[in-house]
Amino acid sequence: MLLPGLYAWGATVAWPAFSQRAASLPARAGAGAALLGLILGLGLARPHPTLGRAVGVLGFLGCSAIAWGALGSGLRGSGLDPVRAALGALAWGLFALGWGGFPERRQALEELELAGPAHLTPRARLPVGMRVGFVALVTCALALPLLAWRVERPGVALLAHAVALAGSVSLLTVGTRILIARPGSEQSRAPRLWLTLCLLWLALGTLLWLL
Amino acid sequence: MVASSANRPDWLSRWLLVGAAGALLFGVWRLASAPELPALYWLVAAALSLKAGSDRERALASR
Repeated sequence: MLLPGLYAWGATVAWPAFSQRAASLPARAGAGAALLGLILGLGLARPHPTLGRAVGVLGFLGCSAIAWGALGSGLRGSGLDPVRAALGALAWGLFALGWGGFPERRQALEELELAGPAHLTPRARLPVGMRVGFVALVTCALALPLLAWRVERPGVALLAHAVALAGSVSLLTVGTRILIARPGSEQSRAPRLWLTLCLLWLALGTLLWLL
Repeated sequence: MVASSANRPDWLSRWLLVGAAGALLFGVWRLASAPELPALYWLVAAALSLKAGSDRERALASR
């Protein structure tokens, strides 16, 4: 997470904020705070996963968004190399992948040694469908930040990048859980509030489209 | 080992995930052209679908 995060920060936040003399103080402060959030989030992620994730993802992204917002038209300057910007988008995607699922706290080494290699063999292999699902999920998560670079209008472009990054992280987090989950048989009692809202929203869209 | 019925994946959660991914991709892609309202519609649909899938998975996994 650190390497792609640093690259994304350097290529898309620090470069426009620190390479232009006209960049305002809030833009530079936002860029500095974003770096601080990235490092602090990674440091906190092991002992306090929830807080670390909040600082590492929301803090880093929020401060980067502040820097971008404060830069304003400076983001469209000729100093921004398209190749560097595209690589920065790729780095944002990898950063999102890194935060997708933080590993659980490791088991004690002694416990693993006691278990012995014979007891550590997997009970089952992942089905092919699940592997295909994971590949599709990762592809979607990588494609979102790249798609956001199609948006060129100021303001909307920033929204597209923020939505793409948040969407990548959410897709990976929720998608991994859904693909791995083995729920019980009492499926009829699952909550239906958001499902109903989603169906109503789609019905409203269909109705407006027909009219 | 024979898989029991309790081990079956929840297909509704998976379809909600597929719908959310599709709506997100289309929404971000559609943001490139004006007006933005259709794109925002699909982004909201993606958020609702993802939330519905997430809640359903959480509720079923806790049983």
